[in-house]
Amino acid sequence: MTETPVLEVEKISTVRGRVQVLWDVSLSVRRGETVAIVGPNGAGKTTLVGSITGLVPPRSGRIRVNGEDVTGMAPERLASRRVALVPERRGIFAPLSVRENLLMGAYARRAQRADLAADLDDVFGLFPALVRLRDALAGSLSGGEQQMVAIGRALMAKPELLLLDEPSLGLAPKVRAENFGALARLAERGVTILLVEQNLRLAARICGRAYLMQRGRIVGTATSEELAQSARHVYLESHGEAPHG
Amino acid sequence: MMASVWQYILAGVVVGAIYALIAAGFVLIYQVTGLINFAQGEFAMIGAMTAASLAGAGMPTLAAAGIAVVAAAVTGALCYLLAIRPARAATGVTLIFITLGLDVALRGLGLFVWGTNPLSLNAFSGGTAVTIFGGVLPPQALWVLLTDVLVFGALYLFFRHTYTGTAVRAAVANPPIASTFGIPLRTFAFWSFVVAAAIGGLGGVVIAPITSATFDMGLTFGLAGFVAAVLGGLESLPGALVGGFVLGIIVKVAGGLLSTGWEDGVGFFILVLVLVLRPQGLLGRAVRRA
Ligand SMILES: Nc1ncnc2c1ncn2[C@@H]1O[C@H](COP(=O)(O)OP(=O)(O)OP(=O)(O)O)[C@@H](O)[C@H]1O
Ligand SMILES: [Mg+2]
Repeated sequence: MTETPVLEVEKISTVRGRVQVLWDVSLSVRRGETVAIVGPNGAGKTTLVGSITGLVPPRSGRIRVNGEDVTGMAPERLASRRVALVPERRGIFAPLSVRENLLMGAYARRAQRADLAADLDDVFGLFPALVRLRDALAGSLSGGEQQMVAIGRALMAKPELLLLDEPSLGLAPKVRAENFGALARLAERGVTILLVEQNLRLAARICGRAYLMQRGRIVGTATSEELAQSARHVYLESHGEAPHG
Repeated sequence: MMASVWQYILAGVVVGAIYALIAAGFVLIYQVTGLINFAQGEFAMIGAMTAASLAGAGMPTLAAAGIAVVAAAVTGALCYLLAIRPARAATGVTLIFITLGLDVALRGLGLFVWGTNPLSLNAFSGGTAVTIFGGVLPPQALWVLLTDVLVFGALYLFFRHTYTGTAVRAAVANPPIASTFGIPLRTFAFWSFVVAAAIGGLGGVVIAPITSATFDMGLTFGLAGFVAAVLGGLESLPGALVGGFVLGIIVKVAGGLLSTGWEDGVGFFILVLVLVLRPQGLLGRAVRRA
């Protein structure tokens, strides 16, 4: 008997404006897995994440969360299915304090104050750098700190599925490593993660396998080892001769 | 001369307090939905006329006032549900015309229900006028100022110290991301209309004993509230409060020194001035979230 995947995406096609961006994209993520989506700029990774969260509903195809068909469901309803997003470019609530940002992550849970306090402590345990910033305006933080807020906010939703859209984007290597350390700990705890990442080495570090995306299609899959290998390859390419298409 | 200017200033503070309430309604709706609701002044009219007519029919003033605020709130809810919500896919310009249409429709409704005669409402309490440095405030003016303290105080507490209020601020800051956490944008849009209408209605009710109530009072109060909101930056409740008082004082002093006929003209002049100096204020944020 096989367990129902946490996320099943079945042949979705998504249109933005007048352009079809996703073509028959299918993938699935089982409970406890950490799966990467890698692909070049404009491949449609963010659109795929948007289709899963309901921000950019697909035109055709099916999306199931824990077996429930959520295709076309509004984001605010999907939130109660415990799908949480760490959006591209972080998308923190700039005029709110760090603590308020984190609390908002739990909105769909309708949790008790005491539970929320315990969960806040959890997040501060994962990101100790945020403790002294708890009352600072999130918009005033550095990029790396904002990324921590974005991840912490999603964790406050107690997600069944954590979606991260390029959490390494624009961060210094040291901060990036710290944040991925936190993600690795979450993966160890058994949080199911779907990670969009262009940096193959970082993806290989925490993901068991990956889907490769190009021009709106899934064009292949890779194991963690293959990712790490091609990360080396890409590294050599970009430091040797110019890479090809 | 100085004494009369002081008196004008006091009068400006009183109407300014009402402008501030109406401006708060503009800001609430604009922040939550991205929409400028030009029907805002009519909520004050609904409040004032309902209270005055009920009190005129023998109902105790405070009971009439309470029902009038509820009537204004219900009007706001209906405006959202019947006119704004169904058209939320429309462009910003269309939605502005819809609110202008609502304004005309509500004023017409006021004319139909209450006619052209001004209605008066008794002050909420008796007592003698208060004298401040030789200027005189009627007892009702204290109710007006108390209303501002309570309304703005309640808004402050709600937005800064409640979970739901924080969620509204999150929804304003980043609507799509807020929605992915389950924050209900449309529900908040609905309540922004209800609360803005209730606050506007309350403004109309508390000022009615001073200005009396007419079916077309929404025009003046709506314009003034809008100017006050723009003065305050259209995005901030403290701005609305300050904008209301500043505008009230300018209008009353100018009207007093020139002639009362100039009051609306001065308001318009200030609007043009602000729009020229801060043109991004109005259509700069073309996003709508109704
Ligand atoms: N609102 C839109 N209207 C039209 N086309 C859009 C819109 N948003 C995105 N696109 C197009 O869709 C394609 C995929 O964009 P998407 O943001 O999903 O890619 P991505 O893989 O996340 O890229 P990146 O790595 O740069 O974040 C791009 O070609 C983009 O130009
Ligand atoms: Mg992207």
